[in-house]
Amino acid sequence: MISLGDFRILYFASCVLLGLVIVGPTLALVVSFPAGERFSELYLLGPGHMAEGYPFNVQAGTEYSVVLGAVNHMGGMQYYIVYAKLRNQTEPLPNATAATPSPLEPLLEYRMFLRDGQVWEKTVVFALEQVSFDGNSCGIAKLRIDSNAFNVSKLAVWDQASRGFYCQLFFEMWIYNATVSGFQFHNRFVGNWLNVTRGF
Amino acid sequence: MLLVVFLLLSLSRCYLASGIDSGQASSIIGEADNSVRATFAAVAEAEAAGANVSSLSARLDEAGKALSAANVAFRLGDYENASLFAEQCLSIMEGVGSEAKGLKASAEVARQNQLILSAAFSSVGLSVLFVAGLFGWRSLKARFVRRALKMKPEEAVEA
Repeated sequence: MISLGDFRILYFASCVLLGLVIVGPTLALVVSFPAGERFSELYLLGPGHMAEGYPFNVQAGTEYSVVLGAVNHMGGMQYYIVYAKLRNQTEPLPNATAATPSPLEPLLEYRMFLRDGQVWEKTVVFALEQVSFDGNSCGIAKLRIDSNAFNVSKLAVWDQASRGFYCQLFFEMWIYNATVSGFQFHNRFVGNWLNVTRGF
Repeated sequence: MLLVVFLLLSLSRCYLASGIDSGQASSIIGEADNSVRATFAAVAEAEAAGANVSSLSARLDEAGKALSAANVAFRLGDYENASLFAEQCLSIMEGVGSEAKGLKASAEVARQNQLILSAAFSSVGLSVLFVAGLFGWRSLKARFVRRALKMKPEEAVEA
């Protein structure tokens, strides 16, 4: 049989446990628990909403689409801008190590206000226009994204190794920092390589 | 009558918008940008205080789209549309900031009331637990002792 001393300990431990259950809801309102890892997602999917079927061999005048998405896991509401940029093989991408954006001028921008856990998606429709081929180079005069036509004047040089004229449509994510009252590059970017081909 | 008023308003808007240079467009876009930033800060604070900001968030989204369109139009050299989109952004943002502040204040009051109520229930619960615990211990202890006294001593069995 259990001793009186052990019984006393058991009884008062049960009382303390029950006391914690009673105080629990009040404590939950006052005490803030440590948050998990805070980050944002930026992703690019093919037109079928899968990580496949991305436009690759593209022709002038034909419309292509990709799905651009962003998710907020920062623990509170955030204000983001995603810039769309176009580059050829020699122009720089953002530097992930130094967390600096690409110096290229943005073409289109998407602004979004996401609450914690909220997902944003947009089907981006684009088409290359006024494309010309001259020997080992390909000139792209215009890029149309979502019915906005931009003068891009890009020159893609023939890539002997990969056998194509390549350019990349990429998207950079920026986040609003209330402390500095400005936007900062959020060190997230996604892109899609395009091989510009002659029409058949 | 309503149609005439609408047409007159549209015409006046077109008249006002025409002949806008890059400086003017840039200025109004800057104003819209500042308004969106300030409103976002207010809405984010209201959300952090526990307010339901779904409707305000939807309006922020609309304003963000208009501001993006204004910036894109500006980059394309279409200053008239840039200023029109920026004006649209400003009109969407009208009143959102004050609404957010109101929601924040209500959320804070609701949170405080909830805290008071919860603390009151906890205090009553703890008091009841304390008193019931002491009386419970007394009765359990008495029962335990009675049971122990009723037990017969066991004899050691020698092998």
